[in-house]
Amino acid sequence: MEVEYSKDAEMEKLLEDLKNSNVKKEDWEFHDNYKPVYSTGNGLNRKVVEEISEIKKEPDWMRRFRLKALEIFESKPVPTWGPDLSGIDWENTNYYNRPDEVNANNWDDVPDEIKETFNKLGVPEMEQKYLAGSVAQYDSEGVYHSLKKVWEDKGVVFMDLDSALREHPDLVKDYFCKAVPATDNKFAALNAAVWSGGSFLYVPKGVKIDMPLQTYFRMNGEATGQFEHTIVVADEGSKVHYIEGCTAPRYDKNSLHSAIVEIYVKKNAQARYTSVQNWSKSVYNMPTKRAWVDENANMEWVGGSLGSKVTMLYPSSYLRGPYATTHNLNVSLAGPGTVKDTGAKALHLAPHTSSRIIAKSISIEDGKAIYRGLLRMNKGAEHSRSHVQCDALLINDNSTSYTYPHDEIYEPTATFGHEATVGRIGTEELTYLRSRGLSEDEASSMIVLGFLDDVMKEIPMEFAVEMNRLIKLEMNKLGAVG
Amino acid sequence: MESYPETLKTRLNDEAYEYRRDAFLAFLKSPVRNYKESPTVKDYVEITDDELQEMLYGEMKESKESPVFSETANLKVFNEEITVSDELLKEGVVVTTMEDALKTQPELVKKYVFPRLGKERIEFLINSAWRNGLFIYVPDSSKVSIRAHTINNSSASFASKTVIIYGKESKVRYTDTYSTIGQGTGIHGKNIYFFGGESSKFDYLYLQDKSEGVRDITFVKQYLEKFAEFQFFHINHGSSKTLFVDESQQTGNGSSFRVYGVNFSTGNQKMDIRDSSFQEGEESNADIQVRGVVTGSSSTIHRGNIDLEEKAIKATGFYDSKILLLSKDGFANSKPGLEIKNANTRSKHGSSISNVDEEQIFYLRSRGIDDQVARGMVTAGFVGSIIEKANDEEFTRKVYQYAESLGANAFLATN
Amino acid sequence: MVPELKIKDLKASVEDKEILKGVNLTVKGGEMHALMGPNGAGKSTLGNVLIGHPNYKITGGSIVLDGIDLTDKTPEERARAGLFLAFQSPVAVVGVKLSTFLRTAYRQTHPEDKVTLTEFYDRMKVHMKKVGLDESFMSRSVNDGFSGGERKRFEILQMVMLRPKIIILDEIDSGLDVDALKLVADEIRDYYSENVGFLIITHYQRILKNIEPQFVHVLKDGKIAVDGDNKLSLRIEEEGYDWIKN
Repeated sequence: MEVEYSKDAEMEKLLEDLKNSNVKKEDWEFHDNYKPVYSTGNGLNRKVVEEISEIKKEPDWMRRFRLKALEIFESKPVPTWGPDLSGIDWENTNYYNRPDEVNANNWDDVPDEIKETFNKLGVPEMEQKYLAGSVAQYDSEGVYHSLKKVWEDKGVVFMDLDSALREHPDLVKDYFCKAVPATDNKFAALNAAVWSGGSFLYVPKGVKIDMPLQTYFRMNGEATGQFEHTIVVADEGSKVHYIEGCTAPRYDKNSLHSAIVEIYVKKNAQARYTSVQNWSKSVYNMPTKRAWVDENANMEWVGGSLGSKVTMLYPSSYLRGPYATTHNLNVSLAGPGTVKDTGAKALHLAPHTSSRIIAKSISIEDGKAIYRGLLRMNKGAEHSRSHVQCDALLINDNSTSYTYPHDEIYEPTATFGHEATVGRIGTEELTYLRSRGLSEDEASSMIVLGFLDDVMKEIPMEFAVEMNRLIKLEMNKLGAVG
Repeated sequence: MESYPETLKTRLNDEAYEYRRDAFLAFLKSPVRNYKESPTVKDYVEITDDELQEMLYGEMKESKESPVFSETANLKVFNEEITVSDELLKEGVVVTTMEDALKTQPELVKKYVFPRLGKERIEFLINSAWRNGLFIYVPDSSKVSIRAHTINNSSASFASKTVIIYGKESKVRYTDTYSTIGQGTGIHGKNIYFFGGESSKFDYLYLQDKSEGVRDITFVKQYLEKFAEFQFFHINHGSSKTLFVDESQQTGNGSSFRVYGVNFSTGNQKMDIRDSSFQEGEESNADIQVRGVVTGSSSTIHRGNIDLEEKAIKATGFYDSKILLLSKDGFANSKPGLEIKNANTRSKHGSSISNVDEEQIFYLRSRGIDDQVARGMVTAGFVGSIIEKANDEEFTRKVYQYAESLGANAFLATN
Repeated sequence: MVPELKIKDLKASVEDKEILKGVNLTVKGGEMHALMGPNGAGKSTLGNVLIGHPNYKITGGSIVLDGIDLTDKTPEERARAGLFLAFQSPVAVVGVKLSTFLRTAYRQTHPEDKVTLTEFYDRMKVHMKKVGLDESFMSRSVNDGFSGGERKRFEILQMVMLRPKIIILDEIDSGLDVDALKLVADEIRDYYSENVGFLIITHYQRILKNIEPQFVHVLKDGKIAVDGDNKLSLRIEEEGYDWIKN
């Protein structure tokens, strides 16, 4: 394996952090004792769906939409082409957990126990330092949202989707389940039936937001399902960066996370979506994420997939207008006992479109990392270009990696390339670094970070630090690496 | 398909009956693949059960035309008759039909043929229903050069099974050409299995150039013992529908598997070309390079999987596919895969699909070469450079001929 | 007949950006011209436009060789008319053998010459030796895996084999060490005659010490800013390009 060493000062600082950090699992896998105010109990049926809609006092179209989606969900089989999903306990999952009536726009109004949880995760601190606005969701409902006034004045809308449905019903209706229809797959149908929370972000024409906006999702209850639905609309000529962070405490029973993320990037707009998920190892993470990218617009997906028991995630870009572009950068960490079935899809539907996909995975112990991707160039996508690169790093002898790209080209003027490598930390690289005085651990970490460098440098600093700590932590547990 | 067991009993009731029966059971048990829900898997060359029935119950029809064999052939097969040059049958080399081998070589058949039912659904069926095919045995340390030419009636439908066993330290060069007579639309299934002894060397040159109505299904397997080296050159040019599946079974430590494949799809042809390695041997290596050229309304899919098992310490596996998509109505698809179950290995795959590189065309034109000629040269070079490694004049000539005969029409649709 | 290339008020753009803004230059048989200029002046663009690279669009002016207007002609028609460009970084053409390539090109540029295959290859071998390329290169793919210097030697080999009338050498000295530079310069001088005109595009004065041009032109911002003789190149070596006003 070839490794390029980053000379980046920031990376050096990260390495320093890494050396000094002494993180424990408890830092995020704690759980508080907050009891939900309302819960639909376990199991899913028509009544539960109607109840959710009732509590939320939703418009009738949404109630009917949910019920239709439930039928679709019930008619679709559990997919069998990927990882084993038999551990999902559909009957004993709690599909809706409501923390409290409160949805504050000031942290002081958030119930103490919940606030304490977000404090521990550092959410309010980050908001102050780096963000243009933020939303916090606890189990099924948003508990906090804020947006800096300067953006509110320019017509930006940023709140949880439930609030948006009340305050901007027509806007929501225009975009809800358009890019990801309920018929897309079983988990999308489930989300459409029982969705709760998620963010709604609308950036008006020409508005360029220079600070990121962030949502933090926290799943607290045992055997809970979290089904947030997020919609980001970047109107013509606008620019936005939206970030999501996700954590959950560790329980014995499995939890299910099945989100929908829909992103609409209009003509000449630029959108970046960054997500770092660190669900605990009892979570099945099954989101459907998709972007519609119009003429000369750019969509960037940046992802760090660290936690969960099983993740199946293939963020897609539909390049619908000429000169639309997309970049997809993803890091997956398949820790012991976990499966990461991740990848990307790019569909070139117009001329002169381009896509670039970089996926990196690390498998530790019996962790299994799978790259699964689709690249499609439709007839008429003239002079479009695409390059897909996926690299896997195996840490231990029993680590495994699978690569299943799928490339369909119907257009003779298109150019497409794909490369994949699988390797492990080379003894020579390790020896070289150690001969310069690094310990074996430091040397391995440095090589791992070098391997991840192309993607890491695109991830916001505070998340990158968190990811580095986690990777280090997973590797430390194994003792000597290499 | 239900009445097939009856057919087995009456028509194919030979020494291989139990093997045929077990293979048929395996066929029945294996599910028909349905990946409709998967975002990434789709079968483009679909062989329906109706077609498989044609293959099962088809007849070996008599041909009115007489076959024209390659002048250099020393092993000629016409429908079910074989003619072997005496020069081949020396020092214990056996070349006969499978049917004959069941009677004359029971030990070898029992050791190599019967234990292996296959791995895939259609492969099982061919192992149950084969009607003809060759049995070749090359003793230890022998050196043989076989130039086989098989000609079949294009309207016949049948399954055949060929087994080639070559002993340790043997060296074999085998040129294997398949063509047809007539313009029929038969369906031909064949399994070709190689069993390579320790430190053996095998060069296999395969050419399929059947008439355009034929449907061709081929499974090739190489069972390689330690330090066995197998070099495989394959060319697929004919047939309306081609399913070509090649997979090494490298149980031997230090075994080596190299594949250089070339295929041309023109008109309405559909080709599904799969080259994979399955490696268990320590320090085994596989290097697969496949090139495709797509013109007209044809489609080509390249698949290849490098599978490095837990035991395959220090193994390497490489797969590289490149397809030139030259026409507006053509379709190209590549589906490489890596399944790596051992960290002490190196593996890599790459694939690309594109038209010819315009910078290259411009460079040739700037020296006075016609646009069309330049495109022909670049295309021929693209496939020729792969097949030239076989060092076989006839094969090299064929490939250049195929590339050049794509003619001006192949390039009309570009720009 | 002494050949003559006339470039008149040539304007060209790439991706709608105008690079050449009216270039006037005449190169005749027996003449050795050098075209110098700072980076980004459009030197390589001029070479590519003259040979007809599809990425460059001619927006005005004309290119005439021996009275034949080449402005709208394809690259192969220009080559057959006797124009030759030695590329700055020639592309690799995998699978196309050097021998096949040169022979096909020769047949199409000189259909009148009924030279046999063996004679042609013998001729090729002689020149390969002169430019310092081993005979084994004949069966290699065009430029595939060639070092920078080997590519340049091969460009010169093509020049002497295809016998063009007007030759443009684009940065032929880059990537060559001192010995190789001498070989290449010798081959250029050998080929040079009353019937051949040269336009040597270069950023530095290095190659001009080996081949003394009679005419030196400086291209700046898409136009010829100064004309002169070899003294001009010496002044540029000492003072750079800053003193030249558009």
